[in-house]
Amino acid sequence: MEPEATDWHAVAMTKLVRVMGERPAVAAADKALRELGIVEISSASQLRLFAEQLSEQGGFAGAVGGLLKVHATMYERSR
Amino acid sequence: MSIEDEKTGRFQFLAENLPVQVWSATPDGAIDYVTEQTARYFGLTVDELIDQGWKNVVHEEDLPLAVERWTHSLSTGEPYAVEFRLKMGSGVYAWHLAQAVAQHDDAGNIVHWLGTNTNIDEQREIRRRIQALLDEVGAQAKETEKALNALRAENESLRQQLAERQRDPR
Repeated sequence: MEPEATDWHAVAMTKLVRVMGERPAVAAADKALRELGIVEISSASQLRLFAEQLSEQGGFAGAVGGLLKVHATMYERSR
Repeated sequence: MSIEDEKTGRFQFLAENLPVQVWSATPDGAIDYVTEQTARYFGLTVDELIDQGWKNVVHEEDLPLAVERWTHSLSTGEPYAVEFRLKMGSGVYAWHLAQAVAQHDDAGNIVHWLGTNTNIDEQREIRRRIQALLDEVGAQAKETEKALNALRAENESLRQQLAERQRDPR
């Protein structure tokens, strides 16, 4: 599974940018981070919360949110 | 107003107001008509666009395929269709679908090519996003399968240890 030093923020942003393109991805991420009151994702549990926020946005952001939720849950369950 | 004038006026009104660029070309492929809204789209006059043709507004990376398809259609009479990026008046490129069909005379000779360019930039982006999302789903499925296999192996190992302890409680 993932090593301890996972860059959770990069995991999320990489998937978002690949699917949505740079500008819409940053906008979707900023919105989700603002809702959570954080500036960066620094743990698997934060990734799951971030993913849930994305899911609420719907569309492509919501779909990526779904994938990130699975990613975070699998990591948490395997610890 | 003659019937002919009325028909021409109606065609011009239609061509100028369709949400696509309307153009025509001679049998050898030279542009001989574009609507005013088409020329405005590129920040050019009708005469400039007819004089220069598409080559100056088609993205250089897309030009070889466009030329190949156009040449093929001109020599065979088959409908022309190609997707390429066109440089709009703002200087930004947007994906367009160009399509043209040949108009024949009674003897079967091509007398004109009638074409349209449709802005498909948004559709292209949605298509790209869907493909990227499918790639991510595929990658996530593999990752999840790997994680589940690791958990199953761990579970099996624990079950074996438990069975050994039950066989030999010391």
